[in-house]
Amino acid sequence: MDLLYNPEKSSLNEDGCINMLEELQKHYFGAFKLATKTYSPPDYIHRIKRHPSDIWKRVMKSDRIQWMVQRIAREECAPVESIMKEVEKILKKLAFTDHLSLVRLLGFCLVKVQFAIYQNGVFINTSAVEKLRAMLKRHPVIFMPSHRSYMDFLMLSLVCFYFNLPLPAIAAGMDFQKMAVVSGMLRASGAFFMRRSFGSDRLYWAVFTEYVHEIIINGDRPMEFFIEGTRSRTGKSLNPKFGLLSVIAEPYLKAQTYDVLIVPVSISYERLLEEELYAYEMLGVPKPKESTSGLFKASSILGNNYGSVHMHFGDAISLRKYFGHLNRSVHATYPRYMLHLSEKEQNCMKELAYKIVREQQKNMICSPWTVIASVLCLYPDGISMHDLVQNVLWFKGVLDLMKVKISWSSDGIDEIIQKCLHQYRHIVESSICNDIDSSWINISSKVSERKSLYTETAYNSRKALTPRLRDEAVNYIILSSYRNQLLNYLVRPALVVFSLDHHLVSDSSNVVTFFMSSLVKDFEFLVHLLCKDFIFEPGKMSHDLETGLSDLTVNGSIASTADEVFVVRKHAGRLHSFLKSCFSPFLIAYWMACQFFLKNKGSYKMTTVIVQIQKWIGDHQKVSGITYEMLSINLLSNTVHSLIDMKGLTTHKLGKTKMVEVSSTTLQDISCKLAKFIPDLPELLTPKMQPPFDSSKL
Amino acid sequence: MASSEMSEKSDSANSLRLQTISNHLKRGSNHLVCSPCVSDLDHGTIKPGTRSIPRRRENLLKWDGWGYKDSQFKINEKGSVTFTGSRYKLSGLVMPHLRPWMEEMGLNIDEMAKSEPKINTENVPKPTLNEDFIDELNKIEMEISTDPVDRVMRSHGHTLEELFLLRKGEFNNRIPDVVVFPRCHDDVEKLVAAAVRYNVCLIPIGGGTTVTLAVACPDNEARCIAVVDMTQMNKILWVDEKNLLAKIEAGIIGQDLERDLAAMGLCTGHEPDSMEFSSLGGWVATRASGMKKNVYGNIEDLLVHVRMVTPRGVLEKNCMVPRMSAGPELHQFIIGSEGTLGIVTEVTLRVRPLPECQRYGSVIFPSFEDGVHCLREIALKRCAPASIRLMDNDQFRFGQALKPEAESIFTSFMDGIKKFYVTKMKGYDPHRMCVATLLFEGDPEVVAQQEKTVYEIAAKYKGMAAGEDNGQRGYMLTFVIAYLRDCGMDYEVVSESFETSVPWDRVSDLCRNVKDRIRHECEAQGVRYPVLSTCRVTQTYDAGACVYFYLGFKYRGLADPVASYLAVENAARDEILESGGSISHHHGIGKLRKQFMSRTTTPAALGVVKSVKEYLDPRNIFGSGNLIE
Repeated sequence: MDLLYNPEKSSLNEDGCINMLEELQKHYFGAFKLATKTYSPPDYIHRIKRHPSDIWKRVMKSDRIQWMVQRIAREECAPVESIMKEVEKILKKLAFTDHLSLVRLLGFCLVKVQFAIYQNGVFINTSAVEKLRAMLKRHPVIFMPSHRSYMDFLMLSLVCFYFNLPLPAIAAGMDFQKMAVVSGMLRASGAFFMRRSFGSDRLYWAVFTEYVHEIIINGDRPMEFFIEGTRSRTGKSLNPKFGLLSVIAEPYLKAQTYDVLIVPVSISYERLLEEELYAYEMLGVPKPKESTSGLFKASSILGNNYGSVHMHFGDAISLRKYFGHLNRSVHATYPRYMLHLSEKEQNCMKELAYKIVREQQKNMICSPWTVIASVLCLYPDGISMHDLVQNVLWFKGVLDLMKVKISWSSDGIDEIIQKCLHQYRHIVESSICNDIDSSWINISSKVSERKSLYTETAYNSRKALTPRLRDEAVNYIILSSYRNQLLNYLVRPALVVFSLDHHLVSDSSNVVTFFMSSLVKDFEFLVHLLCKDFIFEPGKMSHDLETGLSDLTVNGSIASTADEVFVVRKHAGRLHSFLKSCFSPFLIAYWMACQFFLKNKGSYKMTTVIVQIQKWIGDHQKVSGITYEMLSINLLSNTVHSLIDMKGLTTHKLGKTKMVEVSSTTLQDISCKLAKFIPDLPELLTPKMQPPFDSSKL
Repeated sequence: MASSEMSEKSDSANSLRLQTISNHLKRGSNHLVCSPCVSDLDHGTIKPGTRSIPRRRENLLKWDGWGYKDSQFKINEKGSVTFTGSRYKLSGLVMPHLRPWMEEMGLNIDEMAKSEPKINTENVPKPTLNEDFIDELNKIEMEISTDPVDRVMRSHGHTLEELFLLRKGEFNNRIPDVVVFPRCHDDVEKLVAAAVRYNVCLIPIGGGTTVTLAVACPDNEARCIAVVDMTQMNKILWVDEKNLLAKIEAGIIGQDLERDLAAMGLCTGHEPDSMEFSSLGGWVATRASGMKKNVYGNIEDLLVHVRMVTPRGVLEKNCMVPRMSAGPELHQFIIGSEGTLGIVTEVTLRVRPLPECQRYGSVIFPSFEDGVHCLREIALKRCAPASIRLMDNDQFRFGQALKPEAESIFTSFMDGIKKFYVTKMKGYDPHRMCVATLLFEGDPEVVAQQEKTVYEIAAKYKGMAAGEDNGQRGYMLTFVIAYLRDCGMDYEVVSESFETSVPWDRVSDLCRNVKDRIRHECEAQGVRYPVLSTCRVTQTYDAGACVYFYLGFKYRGLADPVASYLAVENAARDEILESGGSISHHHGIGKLRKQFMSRTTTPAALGVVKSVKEYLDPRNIFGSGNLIE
C-alpha cells in the first residue's frame, strides 16, 4: 500500500492542474491501487475522535434538541418520550456512517466508470489542494461545489480520497435514500440525507441544525453543501439558498468555533451525464425516481465519451475575515441554541451566498463546445461550416478579451469544431459534403434511443406538451443549456446593450454617444426582471452596470470619452446584435408569459400555472420569434416568480394551495416596458416567417 | 481611639475567643492542615500585630519584580532550577523538570535580558511640586516624601509593560511627584480637602499589585500628582464577634489581616492570589475575588460597611446591616471605582470562625471538556468546595514540570507507577488530560460529606482522584507563578495573565477560541518560539465560571516586544468579548482595558458612571484616568 499521490512526482499541465485519471493510469491496475492505497488524511487539531453514532447521540442530548422537545411537548401536550423517539428516527435517517472499506469499493467502481466516460481526463488544481491540506488542520472546512450533476459529490469525495484529504460529510437530498444498496454506500462514504424542504417542521430543522453544528464544531469531517440547493438543469448558476448558509455560519457567529472556512469548488463538465434527462425534465417529463435499477439502466452511458472534468478549488473564504466587522458578542445575552440572526447578519449572509456562487462561476472552465453551441443556437435552421468557423472565431475573440476561461486545445479551430461536432453528433448533424466549408450543420431532429428511461406513463402523466413537440424541442433545449454556461459571463454587457438602445444621442457628425446615468433605469428593470435566471448580487446594481460597460469597452464596441459619457463605435453592431440575440429568447419568454396572463386574467394554482403557460407557448411554436427553448419549465418558473416579485402577479393562499392572481395594470406596465427591448415582437396571430436571429445583421 | 474601643469590647468576648482557639488547636492535630502555600502565613513564627511590609518596601520587596527579594527562581550551579529563600514550601527545592520545560519553550540560558541592578535615581523625572499644597500638608503634619526611590516604588503596578520598562532602567514620563502617608481617616479627609483647594491630582495606592496600569500616572497630567500610600492605615479597629464583623483600615495588607484575625480564631476567608502583598482598600477598589469565595464570598459579599472620602465629602451609610432596600446600592458604586471617585479609608467586613478542617484534593480528567462538565454539575448541585480549579492540559504539564526532586527513590518509583497506571491502564491521553485541584474547608463532617459528593460527581465525568499532593502543589503554584514571570523575563520571555467570566455553556468554546487566537496573533506578530497559551477555570458560580489565562513567549527577534505582547493581549481580549466573556472578572479595568469598555455596555450605562464621577469629583482630583475617559 502506498500513498499514490505525490505532489513532487505528479505532472502539472500549463494551468497548474493534474489529470487524476492519467496519474492513476500510470500505474498498473490504477483503480485497484487507488482502492487499496494508504489513507491517512490530516485531522482538525481540536477534533475529538469519535464514532459517527456518537455524533447523533450527542445531538439527542444537546441543549437545542432538549429545548425544542420540551417546547413542543408543552405546546402540543405530547409526551416528551414520543418526541424524543421522533428525534431519534429523524437522526437515524439523517446520519452518515463511516466504513472505509466500502469507500474503497466505491472508489474502485467510480474510477473504473470514470476511465470509461471521462476519456479526456479529470483535472484538479493541485496548488489549492496543498493549501487546503494545511487549512483543514486549523479550521473546520465546508466545501461548496457548484451543482450540475449527481457526479459532483462522488467526484469530490473521490478527489479527496485520492489526495489524502478527509472525506467530506455530504448534505445529500433524501431522494437517494430510496436507492437500495447505493444509499448505504453513499452513507458509508459520508453522505447524510436531508429533506428537500423542511421550512415549517421546527423539530426537523432543530435536529438538522444541531447535527450539522456537531460535525462542524468537532470537525469530524469537512462538510459539503450545495449552495444552489439542487442541480442546475440549465447550465446557468442557480440563485443561492441562504438558510443552509446561516446554519453553517451560526457556530462561528456564536463563537463555538474559531473560524469556518468555506471553499467554493467549481466542477465543470465538458458534457453532462444528465444532459438529456434535464432537457426532458424542462419539457415537463418528471425526473425519474432515483432507484438502483434506474442506475443500472443508466449504465448505457458507459459507452460514451463525456470528455473531461475540471475541478477547481477556489480560495477559501474565512468567515472570521468575511464577518470580521460583525460584533459577535450580540449573541452573548441569550442561550446559544436559539437561532436569532440580526438583520445585518442576514444581509451579510445573503451577500456571502452570492459571493460564493460568483466565485464558483469565476473558476468554471467552459468547453469549446459551449462557444459552438452559442452560435448554433442562433441558427435554428442550420449554418454552413464556413460561417460556423467564422462566427466561432469571432466569438472566441470576444470571450478571450473578457477573460472567460475556455479549454481550447492546441488544435486548430477547424479541428476543434470537427471534434466537437463528432462528440455531439447526437444533437447536431452535418451533411457530408466534398467541400467541408459548405457542409451544412443543423440541429438534429433525431430523438435519442435512451427513451427507455422514460416510461410511457410519464409521457402521458401531464397533459402538457405532446410527446412529439417534446421530441422536437429536446435537442434545442440541450443546445441552449450549453450556451447558457457562457451567458453567466455575457449577461451584464448584454443588458447594457439592451438598455442603451433608447438612450443614444447622435450629433451632426454621426457620432453616437450615451450617458451612463441614462441607462440606469432600464438596466435596473432588466436586472430586476432577470434576477431569477442570472446571478446578480442584490444591491450591487451600479457595480453590475460598470462591469457591463467595461466588458463592452474591452471589446472596443464602446469607448468612454468623458465622465460617464460613452461613444458607440461604428463596428459595435455585430457584438451588440449578437448579445441581444443570445438573450432575446429570455425576454420573449417573459413577454409571452405576460401575454398569457393578460389574455386569461383570473387566478391560477401555483402548482399548475407553469405547465399551462408552457402549453400555451407550445401552441404558438409556429409564430415567428418563438423558439423551443422558451418551453423550458425552469425559464417559465423563473418568469412567474420574477413577475410575482415585481408585483405583476400576486399570490395568496386558498386553503392549502398557493394561488397566483393577475394584477393587470402592473403586469400591463411590465409587458409594455419589456416589449420596448424586443426588436421583433412575435405577432401572436401570424405564422412563423423567419428565424428570430437575422443573420444579415451580423 | 480605635484600640481602646477594641479592648473594652473584647473583654466580654475574651473567654469565648480563647476557648475557640484552644478548641481549634486541640483538633488541629487531627484535622487542620495549615495552609503552607502562602509565605509565612500561619507558620506561627510571626507575631500577630506584625506589619509585614515596611514603609520603605524596597528593603523587603523587589523593586523590579514580584514579591520578596530573597525569593526567586534561579539556575543553580548544577544547572537545575531552584527556588531561593525559605518563605515558601518550594523554597530551597530543586525542580529537575523545569529547565527542560523551559528549553522546550525556546529558552536558552545563554540568552539573557538582565534587569538593571538598582533604581538609577539620576534618571528619575524631576517632581512637579505644588508648594501651597506641600505647605498645607506640612502644616497638618502629614508625613510626605519626595524621595525618588519612594516615588518610583509607587509609580507602577505589576503590568508587564511597567516591569519591562523598570528592568530596562527607564521610567514613565510621569511618575508621582510626592508620596503622602495618611495615618487615619481624618488625615485622608484633610488631605483630599487640601488637594481640592490647590488642584492636586491624587492617586491612592495600597500594595501596588495592580495588573491593569491602575496606579500609573496619566502621561498628560500637568498638575502635581500626589500618590496616597495607604499602607500606614493598617489597624483592625474593632472586632464584633456577636455580629461577626470587623472594622479595618483600608491600608492593611491581606496576610497581616488574616494573621491578626487568626490569632482571635477568626478569618475573612478572602484570599486573592496577591494576598501576601495586596491591601484591603485595593480589593474594594477593584472589586476583588478570593480563591475561597465559594465559602466566604467575593469582596462585595463580605463588605458590610465602607467609608470613602471624595472631593464632595464622605460617602457612607449610617447603619451596618446585612441588606437594605433604599434605592440603588451605594456600595456597588464604591466597589470597583478604581480610585476614580475617592479614597476608601475604612471597611467593615464579615468575619468567620477559622475553619476546623482544611483538606486538599485533586481529580484528573481525560479532557478539559469533561472537567468543565464536572465543575458545572458541582456548581449546579451547590456542593463546590471552598476552592475548585480546573487546569488545562498545558498547565497540567507545566505543573508537572514544577515538581520538586523526589525525596527518595521510592517516591520517584511510585510516580512512575502512577503515570503508567493513568496513561497506560486507564488510557488517559497525556496530551489531553487535565487536573482539577480542590480545597475543602469547614467542619470535618461537612468536609467529609463534601469530598464524597465531589468525587462521586467527578467519577461521572471520568474523573479520577489524584491525591492531596497534586492539589496542594496546584495552590502553591498560584503564589509562585508570579515569581516565575521574573525568571522568564531574565531569559527574554514576556508573559502575563488575564481573566474573564463566562456562562457555563460557553466556557470550553471561549477557552479554545482565545488560546487559538493567541497562537494566531503571535504568529502574525512574528514570534519565533513556542507560545505558552494556557488557561484554567478558577471560580464556579451558578450561572458561569471565571477563566484565567496565562500567555507567554520568548521575544527574541521582535523589534518591540511590549508592543507585540500588547497586540496579542488585545486580540485575546477581543476574542473573549466576541466569545461572550466579560471584560474582567476581578482584575478590573484600569487603563489597560479601558479601550474595551464601550463594547461591554451601552453609552447610557457609561453615562451613569461618568455622571457620578462628575458629581463627586468635578475637578478630576482623582485623576488616575481609570475605567472611563
